[in-house]
Amino acid sequence: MTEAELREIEPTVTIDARDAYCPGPLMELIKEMRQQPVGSIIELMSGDAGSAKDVPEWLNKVHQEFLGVISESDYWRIFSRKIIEI
Amino acid sequence: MTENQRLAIIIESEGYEKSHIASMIASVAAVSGIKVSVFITMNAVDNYLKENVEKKNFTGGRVYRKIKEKKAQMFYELFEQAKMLGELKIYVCSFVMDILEIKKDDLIDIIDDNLGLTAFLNIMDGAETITF
Repeated sequence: MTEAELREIEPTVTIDARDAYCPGPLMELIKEMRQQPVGSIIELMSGDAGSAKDVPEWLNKVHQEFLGVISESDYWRIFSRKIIEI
Repeated sequence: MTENQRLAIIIESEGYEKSHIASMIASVAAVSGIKVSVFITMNAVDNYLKENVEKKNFTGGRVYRKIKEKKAQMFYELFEQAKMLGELKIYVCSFVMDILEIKKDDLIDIIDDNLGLTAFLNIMDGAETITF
């Protein structure tokens, strides 16, 4: 998705993990993704530079959908969609 | 999902950071569908004693001091979280428990069991293994 499209998205849930250190943001995403129904869009806010690279890798590995990342001034917004039960 | 992929982690050093990186790797592996087994042995066992965890009595360097100062999650919290979210077992070496006269109750609750080397070698068989 383009950044403009990502900015239009209304996530099912937004997780603010900007205070967490690696691998905290990823773990927060996983906890939320397990609870949300299939089809949910999850926005993860992370201040950890590694997460912007790690989260897409993890989503790919566990066959969930990565929608894109918006880089804000001092944090990242990572969008994903739950497409299968975990 | 990665099917049947297994990871064995051996922690033998008492340095705080060794257990910390082990817990980070174990966490990400466990939530990625990898079956993780951790074997704690030699001087590393001290870091898993209730007494030392309660007092945060660990030996570490600059990274350890910053983890404490910034109140980042400690290794035992990362392990605990990983156990809830994935398949992770943590074992303590029977030999070290014997020689240091440690009982299962002296160890923090994230420890699943004590294990001898034959049993852990079976777990390691065919698994990717990392030692800290």
